[in-house]
Amino acid sequence: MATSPRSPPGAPPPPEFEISRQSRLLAALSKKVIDLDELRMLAAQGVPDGAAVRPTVWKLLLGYLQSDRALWEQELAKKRSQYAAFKEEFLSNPMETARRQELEGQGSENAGSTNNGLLHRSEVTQEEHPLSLGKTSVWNQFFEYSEIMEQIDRDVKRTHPDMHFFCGDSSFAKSNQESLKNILIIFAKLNAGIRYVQGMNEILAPLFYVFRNDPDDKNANFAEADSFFCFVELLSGFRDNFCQKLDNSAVGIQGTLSKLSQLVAKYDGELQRHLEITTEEIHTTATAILICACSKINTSMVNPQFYAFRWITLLLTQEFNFADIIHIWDTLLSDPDGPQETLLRICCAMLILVRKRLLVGDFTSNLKLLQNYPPTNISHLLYVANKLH
Amino acid sequence: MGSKPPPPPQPSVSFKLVLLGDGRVGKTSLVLRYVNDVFSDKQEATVQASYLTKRLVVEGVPIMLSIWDTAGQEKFHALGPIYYRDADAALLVYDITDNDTFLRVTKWVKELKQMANKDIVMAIAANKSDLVRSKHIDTNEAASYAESIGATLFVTSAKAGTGIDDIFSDIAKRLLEKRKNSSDGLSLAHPKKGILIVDDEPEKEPPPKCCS
Repeated sequence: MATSPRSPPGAPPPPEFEISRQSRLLAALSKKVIDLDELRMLAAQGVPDGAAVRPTVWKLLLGYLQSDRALWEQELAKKRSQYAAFKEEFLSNPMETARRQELEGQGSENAGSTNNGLLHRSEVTQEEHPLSLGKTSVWNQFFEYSEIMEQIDRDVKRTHPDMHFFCGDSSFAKSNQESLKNILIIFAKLNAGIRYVQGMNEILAPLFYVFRNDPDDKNANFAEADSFFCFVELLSGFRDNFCQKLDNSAVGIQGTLSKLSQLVAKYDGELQRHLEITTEEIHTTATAILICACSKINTSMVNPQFYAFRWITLLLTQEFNFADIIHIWDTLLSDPDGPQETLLRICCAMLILVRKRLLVGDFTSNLKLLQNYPPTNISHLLYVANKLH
Repeated sequence: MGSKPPPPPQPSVSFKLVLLGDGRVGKTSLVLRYVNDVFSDKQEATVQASYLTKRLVVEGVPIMLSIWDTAGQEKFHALGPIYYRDADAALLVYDITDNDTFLRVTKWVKELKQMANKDIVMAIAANKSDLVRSKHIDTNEAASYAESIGATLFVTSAKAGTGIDDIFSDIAKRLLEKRKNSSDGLSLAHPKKGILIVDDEPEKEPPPKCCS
């Protein structure tokens, strides 16, 4: 077969290759001005865990750190203080704001009124009144977001529930959850068109995990701020998938899903036709399937929504174990055009790797297989995906 | 290629069931308890929808339930109709300790009445009963609401494993009853809706490649 979807397995790199890749990566990172193309090329094959440079590499790949090392310190300080200001602005509740304003006011007015922490009725302006429906009312905004904040809270609490880093009763897990929550709330408030969509927690988690585990303590302590900006950067590449208004447009999730179908059709037409039949099966009778199979099949009809929606919107974070996710993300983040093209190639490779089972499967078995993707040799998966260029 | 549709090893009636309800009311836990008899406090949020199947025998008739466990968040509604549009039954779930989630159930019912099968079988699960300390659980309001829409109400706990089999068997019985009474009659060999399920083991021949 010309496209050879059943390519020979990618041989695991020999140890000495791994070491040389690590030293090449370290050399690339120690340059005064880092060559991003070189870094992308090296990182795309996976950042060796032993080098302890993943946090720096990801920040560079996401454009959070500039290629000129001399600028890092100043730039980081700026961003981190900017984030502190966001927290101040978006996370304090109106009660505290009112109290603070009152305290400040008292200082300047030097008024003789007793400070019992309560505002006098006459001093509460229309906009500051808790029942005000005005757009600029802090209270109205506060209530509007309380539902989203609850949603974020619920989802953060069940992010990677099997990992001590994210869940459990330890103060470490609790403070990590707090950071994830802060980031998602600030993002929601800054991006009124998208706000918060379930699954954003899953995309944020690998970034925060990697940055929080930076061997450099200072960086680790600023993991929340750094993750926020990198999260924004990462989402900017494919945020349209999260935007309900764009769901059915070419740039929204449906458009992305049909791109995947086209990719599968290009590299494995037989598999594509079979998936199309089996995933449509639920809507059709057995007779209709046969008719459908023998008639000319319109490839644009396919709907991989049932299995690939989660793969794409969550950047594969629910399909593999955490170490594998990190490995896949090394490759995803190395794509200079954003993660989407690489992501679609990996999704396509995932289908090709289980094609034998899919080709003999019916709707039920295929969907179960794809919704519970079997443990896979990730290096091999990435190798196959890379062949789809 | 001469591909006759392989006859199923046993006649099976298949129904499509969709779970709907607010986020974190326990839809996934309910289904996992029913299908796999497991429970975990640590359940990740469902994004989009998961697909599960369960075989059961009701009054001597083997039945296959295809279950769509959908995401609770509003955002996914826009893509949602494909999961309930041709569903035979809907299981609406709310959290017994949170009245807002019950209101969400009533909203879902309205949407189903507009968009889903006219004669969709509905059941309501008042879930998380293990969180209610008092022996007496007040479900009067929910029960009378359920009655008014022709649904049945069950108090369930995915954690304790109570009420779950009851609610699914009730749904299955009513589905079977409806199919028997329908004008088509109960035809085991040619179910009108749903799919022919061969077996869990894939043994179907690949589809013919005659068309390219």
